Amino acid sequence: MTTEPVFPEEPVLYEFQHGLKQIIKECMERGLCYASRWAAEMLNGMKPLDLDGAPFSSTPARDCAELSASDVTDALLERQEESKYFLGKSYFDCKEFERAAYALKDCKSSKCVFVALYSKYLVGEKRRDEENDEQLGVNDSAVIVNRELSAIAETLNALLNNGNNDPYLLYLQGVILRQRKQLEHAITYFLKCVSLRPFFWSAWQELSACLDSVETLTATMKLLPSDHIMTRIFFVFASHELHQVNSVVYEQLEEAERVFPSSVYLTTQRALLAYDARDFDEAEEMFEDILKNDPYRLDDMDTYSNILFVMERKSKLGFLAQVSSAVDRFRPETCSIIGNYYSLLSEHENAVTYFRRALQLNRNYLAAWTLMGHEYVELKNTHAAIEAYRHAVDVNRKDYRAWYGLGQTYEVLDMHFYALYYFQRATALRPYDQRMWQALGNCYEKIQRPQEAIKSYKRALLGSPINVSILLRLGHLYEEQKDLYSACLMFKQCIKAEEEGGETSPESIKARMWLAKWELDQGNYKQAEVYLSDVLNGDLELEEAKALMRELRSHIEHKKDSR
Amino acid sequence: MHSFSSSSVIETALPVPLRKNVEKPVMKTGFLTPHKFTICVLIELYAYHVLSSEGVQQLFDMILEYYTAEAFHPQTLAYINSVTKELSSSSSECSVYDLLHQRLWNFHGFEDLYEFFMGLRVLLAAPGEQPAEQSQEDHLMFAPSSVLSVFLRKCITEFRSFSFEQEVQFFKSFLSYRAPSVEFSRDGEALCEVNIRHELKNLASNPTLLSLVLNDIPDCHSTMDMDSLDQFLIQHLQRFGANVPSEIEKRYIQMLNPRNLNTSNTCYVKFLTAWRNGDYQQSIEYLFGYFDHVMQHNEYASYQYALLNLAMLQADFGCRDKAYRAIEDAINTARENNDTACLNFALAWLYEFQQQQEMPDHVKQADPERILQYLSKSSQRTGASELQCTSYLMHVDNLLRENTCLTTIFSDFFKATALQNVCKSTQCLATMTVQRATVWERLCNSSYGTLLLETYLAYCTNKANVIDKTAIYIKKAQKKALLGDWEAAHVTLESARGHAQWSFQANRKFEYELLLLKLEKSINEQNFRCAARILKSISGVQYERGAFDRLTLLSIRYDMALGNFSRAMDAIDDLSLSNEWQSCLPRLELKKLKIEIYLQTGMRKRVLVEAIDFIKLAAKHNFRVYFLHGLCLLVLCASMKCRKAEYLLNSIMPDILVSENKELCALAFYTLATLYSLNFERLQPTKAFVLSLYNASYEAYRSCCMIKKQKDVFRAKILFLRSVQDESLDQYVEEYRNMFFSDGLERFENETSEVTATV
Repeated sequence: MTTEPVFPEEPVLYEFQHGLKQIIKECMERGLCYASRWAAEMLNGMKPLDLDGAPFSSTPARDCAELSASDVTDALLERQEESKYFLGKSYFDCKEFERAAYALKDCKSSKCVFVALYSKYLVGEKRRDEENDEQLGVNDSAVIVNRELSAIAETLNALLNNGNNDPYLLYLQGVILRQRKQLEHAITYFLKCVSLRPFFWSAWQELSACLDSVETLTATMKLLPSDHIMTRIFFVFASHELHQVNSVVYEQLEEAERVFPSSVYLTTQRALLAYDARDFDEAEEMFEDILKNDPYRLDDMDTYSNILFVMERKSKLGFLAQVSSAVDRFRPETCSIIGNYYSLLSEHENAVTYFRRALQLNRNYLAAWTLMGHEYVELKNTHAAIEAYRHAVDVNRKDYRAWYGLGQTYEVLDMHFYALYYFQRATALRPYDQRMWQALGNCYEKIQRPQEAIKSYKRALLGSPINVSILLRLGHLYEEQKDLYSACLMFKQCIKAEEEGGETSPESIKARMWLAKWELDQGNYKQAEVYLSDVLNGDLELEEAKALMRELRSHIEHKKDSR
Repeated sequence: MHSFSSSSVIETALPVPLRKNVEKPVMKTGFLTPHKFTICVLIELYAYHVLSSEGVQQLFDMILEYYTAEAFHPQTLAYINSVTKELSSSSSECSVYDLLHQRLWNFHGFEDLYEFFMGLRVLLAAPGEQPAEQSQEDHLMFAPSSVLSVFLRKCITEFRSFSFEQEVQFFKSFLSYRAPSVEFSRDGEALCEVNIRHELKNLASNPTLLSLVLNDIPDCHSTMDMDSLDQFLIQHLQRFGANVPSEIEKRYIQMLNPRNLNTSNTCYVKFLTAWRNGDYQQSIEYLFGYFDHVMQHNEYASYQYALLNLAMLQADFGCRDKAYRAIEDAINTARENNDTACLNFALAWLYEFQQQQEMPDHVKQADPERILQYLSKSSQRTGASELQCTSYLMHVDNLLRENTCLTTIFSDFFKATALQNVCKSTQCLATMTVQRATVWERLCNSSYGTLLLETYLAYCTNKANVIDKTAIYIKKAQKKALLGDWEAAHVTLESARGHAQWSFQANRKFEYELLLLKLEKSINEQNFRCAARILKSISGVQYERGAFDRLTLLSIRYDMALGNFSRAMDAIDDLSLSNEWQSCLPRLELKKLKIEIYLQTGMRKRVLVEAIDFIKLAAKHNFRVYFLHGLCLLVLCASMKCRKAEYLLNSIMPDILVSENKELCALAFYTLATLYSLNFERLQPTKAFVLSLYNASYEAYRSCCMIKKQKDVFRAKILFLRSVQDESLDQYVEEYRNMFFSDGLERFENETSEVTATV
């Protein structure tokens, strides 16, 4: 999906501004604080508008004109139930969700009904967390679900079937359906919701959570207005969630940044995309700027810590951990950052402790499950690692790291057939990630399926930088298949890659040794000598190279003699 | 391992914007503190052969200072700087401190601390591994049992047990600890330049981020150090019976105050401090707090000690009834738990209560003699030498009141001294000194008693308990007062004031004694207004029985001085019938007062009867001063033959003079002068001699501030001058009259004529 980069006109911008303000108000009234926070951040990230050009009325005329009879009735009901609403909302704000639901049980207006049902939903979530309080313990079970879902669904169905089209009730219905794994239905409701309230970010997030593949994303995108700014932002977000980073995503992001030039959210998205594309330097730089500009922001800082971990920036990671701990030590992100810090120090037990703490704070915190799995692998506790990875894929089936981790763990346990399945899942999610294909190829090799292994290794090299170890593996595989010319080609590529890179690796030495033997067999003594002399200039395989050199010399002498 | 470069510019983690005027949080660790971490760095320097041989010895000394955490050396970098800045390192250009400084400023973040501690592990040899000297490595390795190894292991283990937050806090406290060294310089040049690590330059340029990282820099205190300080304070408070020196107290408060770190020991320190300050409510509260902590771990075994402490506290604050019940309960609990040590102490305190304070009416008193016997045997059996020593001295105390047998007293003294030597304790020395002084005083050898007291004050006060010290000063002052040297008594008491102010108990003892002495002096001086004021202020105060008895006697004397003889006599009679006043010394005192009343009311026959009784009693119980006093009175009042009387007086005069008791001397001179003046013709003394006897008597009474007695002496002197009818002496008569009887000459003339008639 490509669009012309056109800067939105001023009236459209006023409309965006109005939409965001409206959503902030409505979400605050309904206790949807994260959606409200997002909208407020976006509002503040907008380019400043000229107030003189603003429409005269704060409420656009279009809205009033579009008010239906049911909307008017709802507004009247809301007015009548105002005092009840205040009571229920105050209970809600005090986190007394059951009390809030009880206080609003007889209300009829959509707003009150939403607050009541949402309170019930939160009660169910809270209870579920309480029952699941022991991470990876004997009582741990992913089967425990929110017990309030049926009751909420029943009420919602009745309301929606009666023609109630309140966007927030639609959103809630979507949430319930997603929880019940009825993703298609959920998508329908979320689409309806976002069409009514395009700036309601929680609905977009939930919609993205329903999309488990690029195909569904493409299909969903067709149902959305292509020119709306929120569609663009959603596309960027969903693509990142599906780890599908391409030029279109960047284009969409750029479009969004035109409207919201100073949005921290969009900057973070850009950093996340860079992370997905494994451009760690750029991602690190962007995250650093985000941290500097908004020092108290902890959202996505766990990803920043992942980057610092990969780049082995110990001091920075320590600094980040210190900052996040000072801001809020009981945020899952903080625990994850500290866990990464310990992991970098090879203090894996401590790392596990902090990841576990993160999960105690948020059981659905995907990153912690996966990272904890990694730590268990380091601690050689494979069973715990498998369990952690399994939780991660249960939370989000799009997390390729968890699938990959599962594959690796089973590989450690020499259960290659099992590992194969997981690597396949990982490659499906990250089709352009060399590591996934390499792991898959390795797995095929282990289970004596060289043809598939060759295909996997070849796929690994597709669109990725040359990897000498893969080339070496390919060479050996071709050799096993008696396809010596192909093998020779691979080994030659290996040397070429090394020459381009400028560093001598053990793989290239091996390749030279193989090629020397090959050239010797072919009678190309000069070329064989060149390869051998290269090997003899290094530190590895010296004895074998010397022996081969002696053999080569004898061949040359023998040849001279025979002449 | 890091390299020890000689570059003077060191990159630091971050500048340290220490916030002022903000209450600092406290980080509590087990053992590790930034200071001990710095010592670890020094050990590392030593292990990598960076120290010269002379520096090694100093390093060892310093490590040992902190090894057991018993010493209270300052935990500052300035202290280490002062010790190590002159020590040369293996590099001739740098001192040990220069290298240390450089290393310390190379710690940029808490992750560097982690790496440092992990790096230290290579210095620790595993069991069975080669020790340091034989190691082939470029560094020393410490044997597992070596002091350095144990020290390092303690630090490493604790650091590894830190949570992330604790690591951060520890690093922050290290920054705070290190911060003053920015000011350190060598030859006028700053040792380091504060820079920010390159990697963090961008992030650290944001002041908000920097403040987030460096907010709430805590003070780091190790619980081991705190416990050790607590123990020190407890020892100090218990041994010296006084509050701790202000410097230590300041440090203690600095360590404890910010977060009210209440450990059991802390509660005990607070209890003792509150007790020493005389704060009953607080001390009770902390005592209960302490046992709440202690009994969590050792439930029943500690209960009897809680009761024992409570009893002591309550007794000290005058809650006798409660104290007695508590001690009774302590004894019962100790018996149930077969805790002989506690039982012995409880019995000792019970005995002390019984002796010092009047027991509540409902309490059936245990036989003191039996308690002492049991204590003596039991403490001997259990090897509690100090308690055994105390029991002997308690026995002496009892004997001094009750018994005549000085042999037993001296035997007990010897036993107690031997025990003190065995257990190398000076705890009972003060009590023994006071008791010895009392014995010698009783035997009329005052100078020896004074010598004992002086010796104690000269040589033993350094390690003495404040209460003991005050008791010695008070005893000395009492002696001075008894000898009639009021000026010296006052001076002595004033020198006790400085010591007494350290403890509520000592101060209370001091203040009470001061009031008693003032009261006695006021009565002697016939300063009735002052005496009344003192009596009023002192009357409601409950205190030790001995002091209380003295107060009772003084109030009788006050009545006598006011001329309320009948009231005084009634009081004496009542007291004579009371059980508490049946021991020898109080009886003698009562009789002395009774004789005085009879003397003043002119009932000479009764004086004779009482004096004979008095002499018998004093002679029987070896109260030599009283005995001599009785003899003087006998000569004064009995119609003895003048030669015999003269002989008697002359024979006891050396003893009287040796006693240095001015009142007794005055009485003796007065008696002799009166004897000569009444038998002037027969004994034919020179007028000058008689007059000089009167003068000596007058001087002695004047020294004792006994106005009435002085007047009596003058009256007798005037009568003598008149009786000798020497015109040349008439002018003196007039002079004496003007001096003393100007306010009521007529009345006194009448009196003198009566006396003359009687004689």
